[in-house]
Amino acid sequence: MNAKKLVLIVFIAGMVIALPFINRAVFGTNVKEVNVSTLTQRVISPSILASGFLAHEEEVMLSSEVIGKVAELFVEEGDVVRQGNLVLRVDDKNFIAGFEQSEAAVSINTIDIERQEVRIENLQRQFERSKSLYERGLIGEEEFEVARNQTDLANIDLLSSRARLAQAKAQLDQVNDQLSKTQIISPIDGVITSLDIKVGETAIASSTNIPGSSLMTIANPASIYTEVLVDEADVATIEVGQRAEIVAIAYPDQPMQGVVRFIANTAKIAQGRQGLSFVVKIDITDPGEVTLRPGMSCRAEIFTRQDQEVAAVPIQAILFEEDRAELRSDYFIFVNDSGVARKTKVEVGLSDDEFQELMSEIDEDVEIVIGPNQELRHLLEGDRLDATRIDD
Amino acid sequence: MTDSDTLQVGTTEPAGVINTAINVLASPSEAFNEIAQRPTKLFPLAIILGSSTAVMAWYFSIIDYDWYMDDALSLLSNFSEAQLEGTREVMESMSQTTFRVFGTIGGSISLLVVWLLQSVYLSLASALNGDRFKFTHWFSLIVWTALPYLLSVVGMAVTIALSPNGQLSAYDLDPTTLANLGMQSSNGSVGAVMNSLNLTMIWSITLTVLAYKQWLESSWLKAMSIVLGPYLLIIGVWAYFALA
Repeated sequence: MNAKKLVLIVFIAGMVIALPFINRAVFGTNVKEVNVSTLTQRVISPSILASGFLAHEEEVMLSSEVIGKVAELFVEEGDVVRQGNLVLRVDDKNFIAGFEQSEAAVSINTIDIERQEVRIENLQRQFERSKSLYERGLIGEEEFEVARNQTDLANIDLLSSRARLAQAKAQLDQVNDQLSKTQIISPIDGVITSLDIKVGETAIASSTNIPGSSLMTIANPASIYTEVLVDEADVATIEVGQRAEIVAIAYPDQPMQGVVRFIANTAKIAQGRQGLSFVVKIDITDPGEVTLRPGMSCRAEIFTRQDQEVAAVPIQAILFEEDRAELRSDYFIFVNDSGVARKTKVEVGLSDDEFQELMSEIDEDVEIVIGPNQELRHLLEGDRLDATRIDD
Repeated sequence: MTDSDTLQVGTTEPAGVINTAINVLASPSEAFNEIAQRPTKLFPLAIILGSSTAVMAWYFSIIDYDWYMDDALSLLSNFSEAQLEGTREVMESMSQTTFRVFGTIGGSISLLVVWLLQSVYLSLASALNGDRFKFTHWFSLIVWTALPYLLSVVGMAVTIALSPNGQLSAYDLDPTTLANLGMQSSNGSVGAVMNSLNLTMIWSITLTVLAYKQWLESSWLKAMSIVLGPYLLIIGVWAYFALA
């Protein structure tokens, strides 16, 4: 009886042991569904990313050189102005009064000189007569000396008056200059990008950043460019003239085209960064539909090599293995060998965000496993594959 | 059956428990009588929990840890990206050793907890009916009727042996689950039920129904109602949330 029971149990156990084999035979477990593709010729554009902002190259911040209330404002923010246009007038009553006062001083001094000259002519004639009388012995030496002294003193007074006139004229020039400075003129063609003062407020002649010291900012919109900070590790690959793609944060789906125009000679530690960075200026050659506004945050992708076609595979197909103990690192791809994964060591070259150049010789008809990533990252040599061909 | 029968627990001989084990699988009726007379627990507990722990230890020793994480997360189809990321962070925060220890002993502890709950439930049902069987009988019965699980353990061991690369999903481990027998479903909740139910569990539940009927000489309907009640309740709640 017990033997029958044991046979039954062994039979059941045998069935259970056979189940995994039957399961594999029927359902074909361990087959990995992957996507494959052949080697293709692609343009690889290696690039570096940097962030920064939009700025105007030609931009002036106007401030007043005289202190006074703003009497008139001839522009509003956004207005287009030409070089030499009057944009603001500071109250000039005091300066006009000062000007008139200085003008009067010049006139007074001019008249005084004329009077001195008439007097000198008169004294000169008197001196000539005294000299004649003295030579004929009709007057004494003392009287003659008095006449000469008076003439000399009159000449000195004339010199003094002329100096005063020069002083008055200089003062007039100074006041005139002050008066002219009440008229604020645009030094460039551009647009009022910022208007920091209103009529009635006091313009202050100051270089410090206090209210009233800045009147307005005028910028040439045609001179807008991108200023980015490039990490010092990347700066060696950047050259003037390289192509760049700029994306303003406000327009994430509308990349603009640009060209590197300037690379700073000196590194600096930018705010919020630990390492050294170099300022790189990029001219915007094609803004597309983007409305450019200075100060906008943006990031730029600078393409560091000329576009060139190479044999490439999607970057996720390249697997990297590193053996730190042996100081060895290798790149691999998996190829589809009649439904079986074969790990193949490769040499790689340039890469961009999507593709990596393969330097190794790979036949054009070899199927390379390119995804999906969750299968690819765990793929092993000899795994069975259910491959789906993905072609561009 | 008398109360004195239960006193023989401590004096059970090895040949006796092996005979009971064979009978549980091949001649349940005889086994139920033996269990009613000698409600032993240590032997089936040790052999089931020991073998289960051993096979899970083997499984977690060969498993490709990174692959296992990805596989486990890929099965959480109703999770959002943020929830998946959170779950991944929790899993990655655990060391591999800790993960393996939890994985190894977790299954055995779960089995023990389920058996205790079943035993408590049947004891309460007995108490309400005024039956003579106590917790010790029910616990012994539950543990003995779980013996078919050993077949699942054997199947798991074979499956592990056939997967040397360590990329073996926990759901593929047991060849006796309904899902691995071909009853798969695209519905996530139904699929989960198919992954959870296996032949040995159904066998064990059937044995428990038979034992209940035999011990209490009850009708099929009553035996099935009492024993299957909790399972039907769990499946009902599960189905409700699956269809909601």
